[in-house]
Amino acid sequence: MAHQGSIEVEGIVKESLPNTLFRVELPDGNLILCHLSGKMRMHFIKILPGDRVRVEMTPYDKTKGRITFRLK
Amino acid sequence: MVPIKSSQDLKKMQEGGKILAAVLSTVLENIKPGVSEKDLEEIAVSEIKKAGGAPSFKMVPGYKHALCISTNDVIVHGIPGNYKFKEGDVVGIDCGVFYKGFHTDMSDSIIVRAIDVRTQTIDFRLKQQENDLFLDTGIKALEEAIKEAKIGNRVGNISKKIQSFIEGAGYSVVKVLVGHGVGKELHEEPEIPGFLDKTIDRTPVLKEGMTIAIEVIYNKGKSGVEYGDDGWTIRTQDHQISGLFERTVAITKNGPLILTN
Repeated sequence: MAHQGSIEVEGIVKESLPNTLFRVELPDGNLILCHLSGKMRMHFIKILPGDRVRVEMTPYDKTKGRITFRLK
Repeated sequence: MVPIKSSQDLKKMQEGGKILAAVLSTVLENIKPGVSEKDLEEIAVSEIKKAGGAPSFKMVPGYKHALCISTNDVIVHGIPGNYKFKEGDVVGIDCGVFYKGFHTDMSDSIIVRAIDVRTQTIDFRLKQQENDLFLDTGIKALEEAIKEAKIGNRVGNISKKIQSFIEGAGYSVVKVLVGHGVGKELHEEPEIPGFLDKTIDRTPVLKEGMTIAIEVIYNKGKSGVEYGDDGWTIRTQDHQISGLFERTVAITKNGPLILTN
């Protein structure tokens, strides 16, 4: 059965929650729960509310995402 | 993390793949004008059961059939209904078998052939030739992509091969659907798109023991898709035909091994 591929979107971090979880606002207005990707954790990259980030999402659950990049 | 299969696991998957290939070829043989999609579904269910496996797709939450039958402008995930095939229809059949704890996934597309070719018009035959070329391009793209599935290569090499074959022939790759790893789950990591969306060295590397379902999903016209109301069917936006080919391949020391054979 064909699998729907993951999509990358950009968003703005609205609030930071415990355990490197963040609430991110997407361009279409939705607020989703995102976690920090392992690579960013490994390199100790900090994310604060107000940062613009790139988020990877699966089409199978539109309420969750993974932050993969912090944009300047 | 991409799951790695041991050689015993691979043997089990090979047996399951053999069953799946036999079931799929029986289903394809039975596609004739006048046969309905539900007939094919029944054939598939009984053949899979006879061979001792279980239909993988029935284990997908929300999907209640063993086959996905995608006719003409339907790209994937067509739910078997009461539609009866007509001569010239381009039909894609997708099936999966769960055997001894492992899934295998396979697809093929064919054109419904007439029983009596004397009834065909010249326009019809010309259209058939176009569609035959369309499907043969897909088969060739899959063959070449499978050759790229060796140790040391990356997923990007497979994606690039598929994209260059399909777009080189003037067709378009469907971007929202991807091939995938397969094993204890029907869909595992990594995702294997039919096109390059990042540089090759940023895609996952292929290691020995990985089992992947390489899918060539492409449209004769543009790559746009639209989602059906039933929550599953995906159609082409310009309503031109779409092709679908998929094999489950294991990465071994001796190169790619097609498990669904």
